[in-house]
Amino acid sequence: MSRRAAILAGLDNIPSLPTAACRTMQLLSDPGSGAKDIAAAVRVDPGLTADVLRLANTALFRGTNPVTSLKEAVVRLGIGRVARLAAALGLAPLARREIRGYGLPAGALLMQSVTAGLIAETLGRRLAPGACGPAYTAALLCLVGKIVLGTFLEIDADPILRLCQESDLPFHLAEREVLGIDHAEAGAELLARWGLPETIVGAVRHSLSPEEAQSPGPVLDLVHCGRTAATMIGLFCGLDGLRYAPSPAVSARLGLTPLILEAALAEAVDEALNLCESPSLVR
Amino acid sequence: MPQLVVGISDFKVSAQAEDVIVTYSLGSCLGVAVWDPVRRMGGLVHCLLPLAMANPDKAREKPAMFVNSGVSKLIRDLLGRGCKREFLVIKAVGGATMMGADKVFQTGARNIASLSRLLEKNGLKLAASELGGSVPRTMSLTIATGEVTVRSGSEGRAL
Repeated sequence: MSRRAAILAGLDNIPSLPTAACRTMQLLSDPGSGAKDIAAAVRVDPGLTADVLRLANTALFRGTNPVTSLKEAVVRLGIGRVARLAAALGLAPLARREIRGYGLPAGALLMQSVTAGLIAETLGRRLAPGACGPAYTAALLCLVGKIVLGTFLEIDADPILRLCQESDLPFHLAEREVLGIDHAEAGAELLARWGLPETIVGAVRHSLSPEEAQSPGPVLDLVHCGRTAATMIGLFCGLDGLRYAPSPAVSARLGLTPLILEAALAEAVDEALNLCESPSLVR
Repeated sequence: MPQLVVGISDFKVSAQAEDVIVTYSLGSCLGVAVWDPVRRMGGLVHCLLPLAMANPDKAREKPAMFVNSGVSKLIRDLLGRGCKREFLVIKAVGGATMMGADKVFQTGARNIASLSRLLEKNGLKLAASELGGSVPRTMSLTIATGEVTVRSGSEGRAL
């Protein structure tokens, strides 16, 4: 069996996200869904509901009175924010562990995922408002392949890193050479098994190589920018460092300029850091 | 040794000889250490972005987020504590860049340019630096000696 085939076969043994988290992510990606749908999806999971309420009551979000119900959280924070928190909390049990294969300490991948999601969403509000919800979800999930390869399948990153350095290759192209698959594609395959919609799966699959997408769109473009910017700033980076290449075609399609990028980073990175400091998320 | 950790968009100053000020995960961000060998006092700032004009509200709230407002604030703070501008030793680390030819995701290069403009405008010079490349770095300033060390991966070196 080839290395690629073995990796794809190994995906079947990886536990799924909780149903409520998956459902919330699906609804975030569906422009037809509303506050009621999202609240209903979260409510079925008492653990997730409790985590959302705990987070809503941290200093970051709390007003003068404590939030005691999901309904109040939706009123206080807005349904978009509740859904984003629920999605991040749903991913947290899987993403906050140490990812040895990529040299990521506990918590780092979750923090980078949240940062990528918030950057994609912040850029989306300015450049492609209709794509914000799915872009946040896909960017939040775009690093899930590192969990797959770095934790469950315990790949050895040394030969990948060596190839990167010797051939001046972006990290994901070296992954393809060594493993037959890159972590974005491995993540996309896992998300497809979890039943996430194709908008999300496709954006994750091509998030490192948007030029390979047959029909690129704003969701993919925002996800590419979100993950690229989250990597660029260096917070929570692993041994792959900044060894990725942003796509000039994506920047051109979105109308992204350095000033727009940096204005979005000022907003999104601050929010991500505040969120990541919350004990409910990183505990 | 007591370690003072500087987060992103933050700065810290110390005159305690036993202190080491450290900042982690400098990718495109810029870490700037400023030390006065006479007062044996110094500080370290971790700037995310080059120019405060990108988000003036954030610049008011967190001046250390931007190179032009953050480095100025650190230097003003040290001068306010009795340091002399002619003695200041300034060292910078970070400003890493992504691969490829894209012109938008060049925040690291713009951070470096912003620092250069600021120092030039104020007649100040860098005593040492480790800038660019594609690896995240950790930087620390030892208050007793002014030594700045840089670490990327498992390798550490004095600057």
